Amino acid sequence: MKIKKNNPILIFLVVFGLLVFLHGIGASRPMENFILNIFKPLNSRFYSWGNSFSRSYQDRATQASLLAQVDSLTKEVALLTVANSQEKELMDENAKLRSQLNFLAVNNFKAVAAEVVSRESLNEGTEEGQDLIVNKGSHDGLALGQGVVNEEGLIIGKIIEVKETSAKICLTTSQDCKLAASIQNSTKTQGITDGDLGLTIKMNYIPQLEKITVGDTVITSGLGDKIPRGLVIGKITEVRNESNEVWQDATIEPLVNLNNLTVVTIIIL
Amino acid sequence: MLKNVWQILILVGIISFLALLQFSFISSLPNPFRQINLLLIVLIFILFFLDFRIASISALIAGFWLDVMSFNFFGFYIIIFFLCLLFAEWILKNWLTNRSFYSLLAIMVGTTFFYNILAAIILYVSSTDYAVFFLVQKNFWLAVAYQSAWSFLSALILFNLAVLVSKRIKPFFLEKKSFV
Repeated sequence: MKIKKNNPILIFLVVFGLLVFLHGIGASRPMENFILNIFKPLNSRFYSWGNSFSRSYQDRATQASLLAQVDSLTKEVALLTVANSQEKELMDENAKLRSQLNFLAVNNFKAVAAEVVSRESLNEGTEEGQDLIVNKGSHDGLALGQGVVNEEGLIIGKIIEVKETSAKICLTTSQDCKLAASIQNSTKTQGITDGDLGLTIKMNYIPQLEKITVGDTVITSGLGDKIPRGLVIGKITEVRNESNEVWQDATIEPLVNLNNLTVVTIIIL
Repeated sequence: MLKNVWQILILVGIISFLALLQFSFISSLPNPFRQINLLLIVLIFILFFLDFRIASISALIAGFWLDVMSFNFFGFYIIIFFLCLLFAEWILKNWLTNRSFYSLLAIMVGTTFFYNILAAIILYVSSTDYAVFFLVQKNFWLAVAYQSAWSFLSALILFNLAVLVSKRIKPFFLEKKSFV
C-alpha cells in the first residue's frame, strides 16, 4: 500500500505525536504557561459574562424582587452563621487551649484569591455543581487538598488537581468531594461529608447514639491536614434515623449558591 | 504561499477564540446552554462545507487549546476531535451521497453522539473517578440529548446561512414544478 506524502491523516498524526512528545518531556510547558498567562484576563472576562447571563437567567425564573430579598437574607444568614460558629468555636477553643501558647497559630494562615475561569462541563454530564477551574496554580502556592472559601468565609470545596498556573476545585456538593467535618452539637459529632447529586451535601455513618437535630451547623473538623477547623460547610436540613439501622445520615444544605462563584479564596496553611 | 499563511493565521485566530469561548463562557452558562459543543459544531461545519484538510488543522488547534487549559490528559481533545472528523468523513463518503440539509443534520447529530460515547469511554478507561459505568448514568444521556438538540438547531441555522451566502448548495430541480 502506498502512503501519500501529503496525506492529511499522516500529517495530523505526526504533528499530534510531536505535540504529545514535547508536552511529555516538558519542553512545551513554558510556551503553554505563557499562552495561559496571556489569556487569563480574557478567560476571567468570558467566565464573568457567562456567569452574569446565568444569574439573570436564574432570576427570570421567579419573581425578581422576591429573589433579591431571598438573596440578601441568605447572605445575612450566612454571615450570622459564620459569626455564630466562629464564636462557638472560639469559646470552645478558649476553654480547651487557653494554656497552650500556640493556639493563635490555628488561624494563622495565608490566603490566595483566585478568579474562576471555567467549569468542567463537556464530558461531565449535566450534574450541577461541577468542578471549577481557577487561574492560580502551584506557582502561587496552591497544593492538593487545600480548602477553598467564598468571600463570606464559607467553605465551598477543595483543590483536587493542580497545574503550574491553574487548579481544579471540587465543590462540596459534588460527588466524591469529601471533607472532614464536625457537627456543632453537644457531642461534637465527627464525620465525613460528601456531595449529593450536585445539590446538597450528605454526612453518612453517624452513630445512632449521637444526637443531631435539624438546624445544627456543620463545620470543617480540621482533621484534613490542609483545611483548618471551623469553616462552615452548611446547616443540617434533614436527619434520617431508622431504629433498626446502626448509622444515621444527615443532609446538609450549603449556605451559599455555588453556581454563582466568580472569585474564591484558597487557604494555605 | 503568503495567502495560505494568512488563511492559516486567520483560522488559528478564529478557532482559538472559539476554544476560549467554549472553555470559559459556555461552561459558565446554566443548563442546557452549557451543553453546547461549539467546537465540534464548527469542525463539522468546516468539514461539510470546506474540506477534511482544513477541518483537521482546526481540530488540532481546538484540541490543543482545550488540552492546555483543561485537566484531562494532554491529547484527549486533539484525538477525540480528530476521531470525530474521521467518523464524519466516513459517513459523508460512504452513507451520504449529497450535501443536503438532511446530510448535515445526520452528520451533526451522529457525530455528537459519537463524540459523547468516545469521550465517556476514554474517561471511563483513564480515570479512577468514574466508578459507575456511563451508559447507566441518567446525566450522560441527558447531556447527549441536550447536545444533540443543539447540534440539530445549529445544523438548521448554519445550513440556511450557507445557502444565503453560497450558490453551491442551493437546491436544483431537473423538472420545473409549479405550485399553481
